[in-house]
Formats: sequence, structure tokens, C-alpha cells
Amino acid sequence: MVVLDQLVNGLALGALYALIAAGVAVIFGVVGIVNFAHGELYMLGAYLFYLAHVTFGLPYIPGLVVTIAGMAAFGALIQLVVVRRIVHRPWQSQLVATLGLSILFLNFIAVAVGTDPRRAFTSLTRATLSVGSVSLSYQRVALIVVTLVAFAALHQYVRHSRMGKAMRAVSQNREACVTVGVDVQHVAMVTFAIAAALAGLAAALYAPLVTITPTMGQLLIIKAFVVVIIGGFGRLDATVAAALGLGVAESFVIQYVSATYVDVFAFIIMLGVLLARPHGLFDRRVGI
Amino acid sequence: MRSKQWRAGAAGLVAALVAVVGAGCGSGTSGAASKGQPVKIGLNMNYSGPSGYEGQSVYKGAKLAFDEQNAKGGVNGHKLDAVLADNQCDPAVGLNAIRNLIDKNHVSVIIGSNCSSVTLAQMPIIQQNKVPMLAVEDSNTDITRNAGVGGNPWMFRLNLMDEAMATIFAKNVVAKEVKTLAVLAVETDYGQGVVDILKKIPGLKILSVDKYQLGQSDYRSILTRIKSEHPDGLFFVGDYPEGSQVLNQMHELGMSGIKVYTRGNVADPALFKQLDDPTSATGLKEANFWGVGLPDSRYLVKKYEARYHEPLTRPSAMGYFGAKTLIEAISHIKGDVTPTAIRDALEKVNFNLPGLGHVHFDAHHQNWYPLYVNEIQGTKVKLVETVPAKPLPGL
Repeated sequence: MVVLDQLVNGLALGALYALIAAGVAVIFGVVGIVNFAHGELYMLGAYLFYLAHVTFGLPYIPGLVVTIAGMAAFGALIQLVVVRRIVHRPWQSQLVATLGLSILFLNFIAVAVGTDPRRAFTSLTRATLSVGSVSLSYQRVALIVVTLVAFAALHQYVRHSRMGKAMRAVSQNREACVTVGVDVQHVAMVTFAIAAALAGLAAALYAPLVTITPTMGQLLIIKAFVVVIIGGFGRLDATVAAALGLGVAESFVIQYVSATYVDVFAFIIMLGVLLARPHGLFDRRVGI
Repeated sequence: MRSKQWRAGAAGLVAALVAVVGAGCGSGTSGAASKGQPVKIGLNMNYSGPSGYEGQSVYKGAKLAFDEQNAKGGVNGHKLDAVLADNQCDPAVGLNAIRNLIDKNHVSVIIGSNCSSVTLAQMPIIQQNKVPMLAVEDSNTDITRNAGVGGNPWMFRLNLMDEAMATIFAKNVVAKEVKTLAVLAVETDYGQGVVDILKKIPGLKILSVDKYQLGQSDYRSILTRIKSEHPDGLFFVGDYPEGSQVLNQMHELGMSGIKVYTRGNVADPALFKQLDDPTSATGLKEANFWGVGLPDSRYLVKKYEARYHEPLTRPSAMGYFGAKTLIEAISHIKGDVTPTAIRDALEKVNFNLPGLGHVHFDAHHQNWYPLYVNEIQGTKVKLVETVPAKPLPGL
């Protein structure tokens, strides 16, 4: 059943889009800047996973945990060293700073590690699950399942934890939070850590399925921005829904139209949303 | 005050116009090497970006040849000085790269660009500035169509072009084994060129044509659709990083019954490390303008592996052969080594290059030698057929 096959393909692709786009969305929502280096955070996560799982031989789960934790720490460091200094500057400075980080990370890896493609196989990569006409590796199953679990957990964290409430408050009214004594910079640092951790999770789930190269984040970040615009900048749950929807829609465009037009389709949808509902497809609620 | 501002604005505009026109005009000062001076050779490579592994390989091959020659004292007393410029396989970046080589570094000759789209964009600039360029990896037919007699006299190509390769491969191999084909090609001039050729092959029904972006990682949706069309074969145009992912995802989707043909650099020793199952590419056939298994290239395999501790690949071999071709041309120049002298020498080059074959450029500055058909058997790339390639009528 081709329809079921493409639905599964779309969910897998959408899960990857969601993990990357959610990081962009939550950073914009809470910190107020667009992180053009987010695709490179995913790429760095992939190389970190390679280092942990292949070079140091850690089993998959510990390798995944190390990748997430390492990227979370790196995200916090970026906020501390770079973002904190540019958050009150004009948007042009913010754009140049995050673009500069993107160029720095990509070229650092290209020079330090080289551009030869690498693979980080896991035991799940090579084993296939077949149900009817649908056939996919267990690694791809893990990508879909773990993504959904991760977002459910993140949703609970943002809704019910003290830090989650602080993140929502800052995304709704930063100045009021400063007035009442919320440590906005600390909240921003935690936000960056979470966003980078999501990129690390994406890397640890998807890198075993693909070749790892310094430019592997570049195509994904473009789609991430499309997803965030469709869902609504700064809206986490809407971003996840938009990502899954876009992944599925792209799969059906490929099936019934052509792969040549899949990017055209995505950008037409994005333009349509910008014209008709500039705040995104979902309600105009403020904040994440 | 307003009049002062107006004058300042006008002066600025004139200065900007002069700068733009000046930059657009060829400076015509690209490198001449007098007696004892080094010859500057531009290496116009896709050194970074999604195909960076290719440019780096060509660079290493070329450097090996130049360093070998310099160790012998250079060519007629001229050392060979390689200057790298990165075109990222992007035409816009490639224009800056070629300007860097010609205007800033004053090179006498260029090897590159390895990407047909970039070379096609750069050809007017080398013609304007009268600097010869030797392609060693780019395969789009238009490069030859627009070079030499009636075209750009400064452009040369060492490797075979797609119209010859894809036509011979499709007629002699693919059409004899399959009746229906799905095509998956990279979204570049190179990919489109091969697609156009395949569509003209009699007896071969093309069920669908899909394009992918360089660096793309997910092909499941495309392959799911292709699987539903039940083609006899899949023709993939591209190199091993993307090719390996297509093969992995075909394996994941249970598409092992579909024969795979490629035009690119998929059947490469580096492929197997990228495959989930290293033997899953068995039976893949590829048309290529060079094959790792050629008996008279063993000397180069040993030399390259000793220097770089990695296997010799097609791009690195072609970089070496390109450099050796330039060395041969320069060795026949009496007097100053100028871009014009190098171009004239390249037109007369006529020698046997071990590992590649005979090198002699025709009226369109295209070199001709046999096409190689490689097949993957287990985890080895084997040369299974050598087919003579010759100029196509009407070219």
C-alpha cells in the first residue's frame, strides 16, 4: 500500500524536521533571535555521536546520552559567550553573529576532521522491520518513536516545571520578567541548552542512517525555517505539528507529482501562510 | 550643501562604475614565467561543500604530480607552483574563485573546476582573460560543444564527456539488460545532461525522472514511488556519498530485485564503508572515464597510497593525469611560459599517459580514450568492459 508507505516515510522525515525546527522555534520564542547556526549544531551533534559511538566505542544508548548532554553544554556555552552579547543589539548584528557561528562551525569541522563522508552504524541501522508493504530499519522506527516521546516530555517540562514556566513567561513578556526579578539570561541559557540538546538528539537518531559530512545541516536548516514559519515563530507545539505535516505532505508530493517540485511546494505553502496568516497556521497566542 | 552632496554622490557613482567595469575587463596580466621563474598553476577545486571530497582528491593527485616533477628540478628549469582556489561546486562562488586565480594570483594555466555548472560559468572569464583551463572531472557535453574551434579556444577537457559515455553505456550495456528504467539524477547541469541523453536511447523506456540536491540524505519517498512503478532498472547519476544512501535505502525498502546502473563515481573503493551491508551493491554497473582496476595504473596506486595512506580514487587519478598533461605541454615550450604558449602547447600534445591512455585534443579540445564499465562484485570494483569512445557526429 503506497499510501501507508509514504505516510510512514513522511512521519520519519517530519520527525527529523521537528527536532531541528523546535530548537529554532524555542530559541526565537524565548531569546528573541533567529539562530542561523542551528543546522551546524545538528552537524556537530552528528560528529560528537561519531566520536562517542565509533571512535570511543560506546554502545548506542550511552553514545546517545553523551551526545545530548554534550550538545546541551555546548548550547549553553554559545549563549554565554556569544548570544548574551548580541541579544540587545540590532537584528543585523544578531544575523551576522549567528551566520558567523555557522560558517565557523562548518569550516572548523572541514579543516579539523576533513570532508570525507563518515558513517556511524548502530545495531538498529542494519535490522529491518517489515509490516505488510512497509519496510524500515529499526533505527528509523526509533527516530519516530523517540521524537514523539521527547516532545511529549518537553511539553510537560515547559508546562509544569518552574524553569518551563519561566521560559513561557520570558517568551510572553521579557521586560515584565526582568521587572519581577526573573533571571532572564539564565532562562536564555537553559533554552539554548534545550535547543542544542534537541539538535543532538536529532543527530544521534538520524546520523546512523546517513553519511556524516560538514555540510549535512545546510539543507535541513532551510526546511526548519519553512516549518517554523508555517507553524508560527516561537510556537513549539505548532512547530512540531507543522513539521510532521510538512514531512507527510512532501512524501505525497513526491508520490503523486514529482520529487523535482517538492521544495517548490514547501516554499509555496510557506509563502501562502505568510500572506494569509503571518503569525503561523495556528492561533495567535503569544509565547511558546 | 545640496550641490556638494550631489557632486559627492555623482563622484561616488562614477568611481563605483569604474570599479565594476575595471573588474569586468580582463586585466590580461595573468602569469608569464620567464627563465628560472616558477609557473603558477591554478587548482580551481570544489574543495569544500557537499562534494568537497572530490575536489580534495583531485588536488592531492595534482600535487603528487607537481611535487614529483619539482623534485626532478621542475620543467625546463621552471618549478611548478600550485595555487588553490575553492569553488564549492557553486557557480557564484566559482566566479570569485577564478577571479582570485587570474587577477590576484596571476596563474598561467588552471586545472578545474570538477563541476560542470561551475566550468560553464567560468568559461567566459578564462576567454576574456586568455588563460587556458583543463577540465579533468567535469562531464557535461556543452563544455566540449563550446570549446575549441568555433568556441572558446582556452578551454580543454581531458576526461570523456557525458554524451559519449552515457550514450555508449546506455546502448551497449543498459538497453541490453533492461527494458524499463527509472532515473534519479543530481540537480545540476551534469545530472540534466545525462537525463537528456538517456531519453534519446531507442529501446529504453524511461518510466520516471527524479532529481535530488547535492547533500540530500533522505530518498525513501522517491524510492518508494520508484518501487511502485516496477522498473527493471534504476539509473543513478551522482557520486558515492549520495549513491551509498540511495543503495542503503533501497536495501531498507526491499528493492534488491531492481538492477542499478550509475554514471558518476559510485563504484569507488570508498563506497563500501558507507553501506549498511557492504555487499548490497553487488551487480551495480557504472560507466566511468577511469577505472581503479586498470592494470597499467598500478604504479599510480602504489605511489598515491604511499604518499597519502588512502586508496587511489578516480578524482585523485584524474588530478594526477591532468597535472602530467600540463607538464608534458610545458616541456615543449621554448622561451617564456605564458598562458598563450601553454594553450598552443596543449593543442599539440600527443603522448601516451600510463594509466589513462593516449592524450591528444581534437578540434574541440576534447581528449578521447576508451570508456570503462566497472561492476561491483561483493566488495570489490572490477573493470568488466572497455569500450572505444569517439567523437559523436554533429558535435
